[in-house]
Amino acid sequence: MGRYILKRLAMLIPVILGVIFVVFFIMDLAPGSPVNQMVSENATEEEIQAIIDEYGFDDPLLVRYGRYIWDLLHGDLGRSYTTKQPVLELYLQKLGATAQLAISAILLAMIMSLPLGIYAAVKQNKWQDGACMVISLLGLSIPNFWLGLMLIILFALHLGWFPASGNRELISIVLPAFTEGTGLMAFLTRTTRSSMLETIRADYMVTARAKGVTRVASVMKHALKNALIPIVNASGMQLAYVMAGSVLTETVFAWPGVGRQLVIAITDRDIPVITGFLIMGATITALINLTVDIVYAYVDPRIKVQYATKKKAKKTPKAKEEKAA
Amino acid sequence: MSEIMKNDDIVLQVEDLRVEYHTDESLVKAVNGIDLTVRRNQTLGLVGETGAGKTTTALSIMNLIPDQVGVIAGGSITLEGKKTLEMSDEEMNHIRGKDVAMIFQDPMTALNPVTTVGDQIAEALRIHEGLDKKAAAEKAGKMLEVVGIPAERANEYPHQFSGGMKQRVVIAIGLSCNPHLLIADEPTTALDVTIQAQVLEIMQELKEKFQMSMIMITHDLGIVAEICDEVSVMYAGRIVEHGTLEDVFEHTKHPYTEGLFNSLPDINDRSRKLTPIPGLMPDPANLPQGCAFAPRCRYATEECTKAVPEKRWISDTHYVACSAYDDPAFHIERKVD
Amino acid sequence: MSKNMKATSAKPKKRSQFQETMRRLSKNRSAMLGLAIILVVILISVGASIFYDYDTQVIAQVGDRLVKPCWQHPFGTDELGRDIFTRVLYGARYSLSVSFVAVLVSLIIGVPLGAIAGFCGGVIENLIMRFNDILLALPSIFTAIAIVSALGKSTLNLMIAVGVCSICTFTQVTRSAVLTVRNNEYVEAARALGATNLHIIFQHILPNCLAPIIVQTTFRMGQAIISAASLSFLGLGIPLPAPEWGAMLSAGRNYLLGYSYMTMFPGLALLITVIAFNMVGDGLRDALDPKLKH
Repeated sequence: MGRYILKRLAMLIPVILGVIFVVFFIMDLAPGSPVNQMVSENATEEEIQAIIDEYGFDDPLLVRYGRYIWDLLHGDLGRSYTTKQPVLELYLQKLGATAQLAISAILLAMIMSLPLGIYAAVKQNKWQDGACMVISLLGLSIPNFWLGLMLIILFALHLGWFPASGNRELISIVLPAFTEGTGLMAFLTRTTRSSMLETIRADYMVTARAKGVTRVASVMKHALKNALIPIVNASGMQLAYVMAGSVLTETVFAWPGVGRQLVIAITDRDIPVITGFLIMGATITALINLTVDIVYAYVDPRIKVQYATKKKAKKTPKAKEEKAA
Repeated sequence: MSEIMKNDDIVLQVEDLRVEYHTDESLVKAVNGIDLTVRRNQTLGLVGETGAGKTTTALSIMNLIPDQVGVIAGGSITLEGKKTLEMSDEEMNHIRGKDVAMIFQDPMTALNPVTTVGDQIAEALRIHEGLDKKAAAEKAGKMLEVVGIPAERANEYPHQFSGGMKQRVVIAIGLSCNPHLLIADEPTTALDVTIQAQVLEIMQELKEKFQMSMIMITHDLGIVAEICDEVSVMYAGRIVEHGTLEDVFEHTKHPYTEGLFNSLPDINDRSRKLTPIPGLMPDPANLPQGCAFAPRCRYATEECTKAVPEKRWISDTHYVACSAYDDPAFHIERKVD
Repeated sequence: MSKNMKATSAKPKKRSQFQETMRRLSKNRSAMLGLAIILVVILISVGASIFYDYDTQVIAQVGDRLVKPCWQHPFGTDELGRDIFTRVLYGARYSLSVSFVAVLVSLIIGVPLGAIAGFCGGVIENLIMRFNDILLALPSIFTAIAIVSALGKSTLNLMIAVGVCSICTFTQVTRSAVLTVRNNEYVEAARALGATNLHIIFQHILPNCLAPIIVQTTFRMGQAIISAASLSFLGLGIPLPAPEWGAMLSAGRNYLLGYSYMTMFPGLALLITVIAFNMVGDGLRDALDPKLKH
């Protein structure tokens, strides 16, 4: 198992390097020199040149890329052009609020989607299934920034139950978490339903029923236990994405997280912040996905045993692909 | 003792069972009025091709017809005096696994992949015998040993077992609560030939040991000859011939049964040509009006296509559903000596 | 068990796969409703310029500001006195055209990449899929934001940004479809008969990969509409004062109290259009893969 984790971590490195390069490349396309953001309008030629030299703006892309990686290895993501604050420090400052929102949203989504998905699967093709599917269709289709605005109008402005923005008290998380959670809920409901549909029909369900296991117990114990594997996987992937920063929800609710900071940085054309935040977002996404895979391996005995006994580890799927090639 | 035995000599009585499947596009008549009788400590073989309705019959006895599409359209099933079709699902839960157990065709998929085999055996014990976790686990280990698997392997998952071993586990689950009737639905079809023999032997042995009755569903006449006392031959949801092993094997009456035997190679007469039954079994969504076998039957007459043939009793134990036997002179070609 | 299932799924009549799919799709009420909505939205976006001239209807008629919905202005007027109803009708053109071009872009790039990866395997496949991993590692909204903030705000850049985000989806879907199909026995049979690679790709593999690609395209259309509106909402989309739904929502944000209709109607238009695409996508998926339903 330890070797597996190490191997997966090692596989992460080229992806992160690639992400950094892609982000670097895209940001390099931006017209105009970033110097303009950093100096006052009546700066002299020498002043501008000094800054260009200091930051190495004139160096070729690859040199800047190499330098960035080198700094990154030393825990340095550069400094904001506008506030001069270290990007990493700024990121960590904002990550807490984002994590708070992401975790509340995914928990809310799981609490809603598990019962909905299981119920829909059990009542497949009946009206109850249809109702659950309509809810999930709505959740999937609703633009979350609009949902956020509507919630603000109803619950904050008209009813006054929750604050419309910011993160000053615990209660302020309710509306953003619900907004962010709706889309996740819709997706997870579908995942739960479709994996439950598969496991409900499995032969081992008949075996269980033939043993005298009640209908409900067979669904909750046997079908759900098998369906949980894809559900855990999907939830983890969703969490990974929202942890990277829910740009829209955070913007709508002025939630002081990384997503909102990113939008501010874009408005300011603060390239180091944009680059650093994108890279950190991708890294966090990748790390969470890795964690999910490891959890996955623990949940599914078929994978766990493979790695625990170190026999045939990773061989089977690879061999298949090679055969295909 | 013997008197009591006589009184409830019959473990299972199925009468005029009819099962239909309703889909968007068609009505499939899977089982069309069959009768079965299983006596204590006896094994009944249910023989027929894929799609003849054997598995549906078995699931009906368990009252486990898939409930969104399957409907038991008529008939009655009496299991040790209890009319199971009239029982609620709740009541059936106390009977399934305890009075009647089932073994499935494909051991690869019949076990829950994310639960240890020990837990899967223990589950039935905890439900029916009220054992606590520890006692159930202990007995589950014993059951594994009964089917020839070391008890230590109880903590392993199904994918760590071979096909034959998995089928032994399925058998252990079925036998764990000492059922009076065991329904084995093609228990060896998915296994290698050498493993088939082992599994059959174990089943036979345990049947004696646990004093069970058994329904052996199969398409393999060799298995029937090996372990059955009585045989029912099923075709398109009906029983076309029934009798003791000797009746059906030595005094074959129905043309379809004859066809089954003629499709088998004969090691003693390798020059004999195999004579397969021509054509295919009719679509159960679209059964012919008369005898379902008539289109493939070489003895068929005009008469056969008009009405579904009734049972004709040949002897006390032997009947055939074929209208040709109205003519006392009729006999099939197969000679058994 | 499986035996019974087999018996019940026996098809009485033979139809081509396309006819069979269409027949199943036409029986699916929600998919048909979705299709009808999409047609209406297309009609509106095409017809808006015919029936309503934006300049005369909106610009020239700028009247009272922030009028609540009434007979003359069914959706009210905005902070500049423009009629929101007409602007919402016009908005359909932006949403549909942006998402259409964006999805087209990702199809044109993603599908061949996936097909090549699936078919060639080896180093090429590895290269393509690792590149895909990189795109997947960045949450799509981040990629889109990066592209627009680098390239600048314009309709074309919005299309590119939204399109790039869906490339990896199509690459993945196509590759896995190709992998499943190419290992099928009929492809091996064709190869055994001496068919060329090109023949196999066009005759056997691509037609069989179409189903998942079509389904994904439909879903992606809905997703692209949301993405485009999201970027506009963040001020990174089509430059003002174009009547884009996301931009209208963004403007309405400042008037939530008392003028909620300003955010309500453009958002509803957005929601209904996206739902329509998702309904058709669901219907197509069920129609193309009936196994999932029964």
